[in-house]
Amino acid sequence: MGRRWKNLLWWIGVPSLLLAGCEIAFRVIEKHSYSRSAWYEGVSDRMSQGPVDFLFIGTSRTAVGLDTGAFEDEWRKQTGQDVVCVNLGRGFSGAAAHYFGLRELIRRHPESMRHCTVSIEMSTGLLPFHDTWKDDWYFPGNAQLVVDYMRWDDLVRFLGVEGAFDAQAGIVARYLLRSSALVAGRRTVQQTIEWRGQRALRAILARVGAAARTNAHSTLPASRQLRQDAGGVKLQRDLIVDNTSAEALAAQTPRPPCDEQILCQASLMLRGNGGPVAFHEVLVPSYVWRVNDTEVRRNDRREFTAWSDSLGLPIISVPMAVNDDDFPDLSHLRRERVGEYSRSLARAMVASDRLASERKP
Amino acid sequence: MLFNTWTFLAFAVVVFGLYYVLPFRWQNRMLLVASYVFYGAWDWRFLSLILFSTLVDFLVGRRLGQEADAGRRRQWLVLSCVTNLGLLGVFKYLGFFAQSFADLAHLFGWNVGPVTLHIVLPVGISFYTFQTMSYTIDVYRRKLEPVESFQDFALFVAYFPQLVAGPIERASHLLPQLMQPRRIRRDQFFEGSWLIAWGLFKKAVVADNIAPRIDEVFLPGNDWATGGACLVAIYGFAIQIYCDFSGYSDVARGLGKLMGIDIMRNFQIPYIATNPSEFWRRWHISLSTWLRDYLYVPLGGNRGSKLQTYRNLLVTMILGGLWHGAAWTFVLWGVYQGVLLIGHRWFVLDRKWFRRPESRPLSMIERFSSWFLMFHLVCLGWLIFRAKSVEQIGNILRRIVSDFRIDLDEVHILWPVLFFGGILLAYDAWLRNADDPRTRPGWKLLGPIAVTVLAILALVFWPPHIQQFIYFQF
Repeated sequence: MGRRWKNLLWWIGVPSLLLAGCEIAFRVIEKHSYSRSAWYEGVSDRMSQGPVDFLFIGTSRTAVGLDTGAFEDEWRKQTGQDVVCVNLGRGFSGAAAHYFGLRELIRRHPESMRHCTVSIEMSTGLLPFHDTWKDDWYFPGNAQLVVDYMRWDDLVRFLGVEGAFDAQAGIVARYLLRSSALVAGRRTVQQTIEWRGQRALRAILARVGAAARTNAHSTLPASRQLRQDAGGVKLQRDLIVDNTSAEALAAQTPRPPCDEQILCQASLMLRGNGGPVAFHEVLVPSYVWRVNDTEVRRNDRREFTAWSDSLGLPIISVPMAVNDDDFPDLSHLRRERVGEYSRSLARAMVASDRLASERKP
Repeated sequence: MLFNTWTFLAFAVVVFGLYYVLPFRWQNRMLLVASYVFYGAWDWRFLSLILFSTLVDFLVGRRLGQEADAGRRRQWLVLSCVTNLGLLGVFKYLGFFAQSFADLAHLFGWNVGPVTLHIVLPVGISFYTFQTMSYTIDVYRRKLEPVESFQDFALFVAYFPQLVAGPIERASHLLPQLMQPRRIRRDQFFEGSWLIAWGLFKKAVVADNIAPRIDEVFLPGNDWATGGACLVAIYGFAIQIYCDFSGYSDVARGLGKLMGIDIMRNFQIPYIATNPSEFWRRWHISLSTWLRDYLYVPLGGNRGSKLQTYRNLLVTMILGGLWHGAAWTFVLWGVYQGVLLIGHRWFVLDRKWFRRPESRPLSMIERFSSWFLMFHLVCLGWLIFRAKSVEQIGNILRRIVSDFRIDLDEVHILWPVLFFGGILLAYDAWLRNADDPRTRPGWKLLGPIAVTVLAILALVFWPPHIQQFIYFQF
């Protein structure tokens, strides 16, 4: 074999081996990661093994604010029934990601989904995501969530949306390469490397005497990638406070009609499969109330209530008093009060006649 | 249209596709149209500015070529300078000077009210203005023959790879390449591809992953960051700005090479410099040489007394600082760089009481301590450059001195700086900024591994949000 051929072989063989090795490693990491196991794929696995009674979907407020163990425990106390519930709340997930995930669950487990109550997050009487199919319906940082269960016709619909070429090209590329863990699992691998790297760094620094300063933010729930450090908390607080500025409030525009909102369509899809649907209120500080106490938002609230009433969908409010100190970053409930909220929610759900009729076999 | 977007990829596919099939004269026509499309993608209205500037300098160049009378020639040169600097002044500095005047008046109890001029800064105006001015000045100095073809000259001004963030090309270097048919050699093709890949990696993977953590520390009103976090953020910004800017330059040079065009090198491992003078020979080379040739030397350079030389250095660097942006922090940064250069010149050349024999090379310890000191002086400069206000500079320095500790809650700031900084260091230490990495020892054996690792890292750490290049704002 000539030198040239050897060189060519080296340049093809080594990269191929490395890429194949990474593909395998990425698959292993993804399989054991939070992203996969705690998202729709994980629910699907659980449904293959047995029934799931409650699915809670929403944002990071649901993700960190609802303790499923406390909920199940309280439900058992109130009704004597053992239930299994899964928290699918996730920050920056978006309506379409949940829609596609639910649609996939119905496809794979239609019977299980008929007996599973899906509760969709609400705050201040409004849905957390109000995207329609005419919008750019994904968060750039979490595009893979949308692509995971996307179908060809979804992609065609997305390309029809008037949006940036870059976003569309990115989604198409992800869609076409989604069977490769190198592409589909890259965010998971990135987060795993960052998380493990930071943990190792913390251990090294702790050994040389560095300490964490004691602050109120450590009372935020530690799970699900919520930032607890002072800088992250400040960013989150600034974001909320900025939204309460007079200019921001004046710039509010009405939300699209409920029929057009993806999450509302998701509830109709679940209903169509014969499954019960509810909306659970998460607790929020006064800042969030201030943002949603404008005339525009009051109208949106009225419209949503009328829509859910017309379909008989229950809205579960939680009678629990909170103040702004319960939200260290002005967004997420303090760790100490999560259990109390989860139990209150369980009691409120048990007490809801409308939910009871929804859950009727 | 940013280099690190799908839009640019589509644009490049079309442009290069056409470039490789068209004959020479049509290549230039197509490149000119493509360059205007590229620039117009930001704001098509600013195309009129670049066209106006091009037209004025082309005509002035022609007149300078025809005119023999020294006085008339000087008038034509002044016309070009006034036009170019006037545009720059209005679009970049008018708001700043108006506000500064209002602030000054307020100090004297003269209330002129807040000055708000909503002038949008055209992308890359500082770059193409300096580029086109260099042409007129060189023609005036009879170092260059005026160009005959308006199309070639317009392409020289608007050539898209380096239009919005440099390198600031010299007419004597770029124009002849644009005016002649080009052949792309195989090694040029390899070098171009490598430069594009490496440049994009530096920008998108290293700079853009570090940037959000640095931005947090530099948020106005930040009262939580410890001195340790502030110091890490300054080191982080040193890495970010280098990768951001040199990444752009590398992509620009790579694109040029794929067309058979050589664009000047803008960076030469700047952070290994051991003194300020060496740093400016390695950092933003196209600007520092421009300032030297068209400002420092005409001011008198080092031909006068020591004091005159110091003055020339200071004026050059202050204007260099102001070139970067219309803010007092940039002026301060210019003063700081000027003082460093003066201090270095005084220490090395002008001291009588202690002078190191020139024949004796620096020892290892001397070299290391010079490098260490210089790197930290550069970093202090970056603090001035990055800060939002003079007050913030003081605030951060105070925290580094009085509250220096490592907080475990701030590991998320330290981690990306160490991780991405480490990757950069490993590659840079090996490849030494070579255009052709095949010339580096061990490439034959390790090349495929290095390239694949780079590709995998890019795949994993390519950020979801596209960030503008820092130097676009200048």
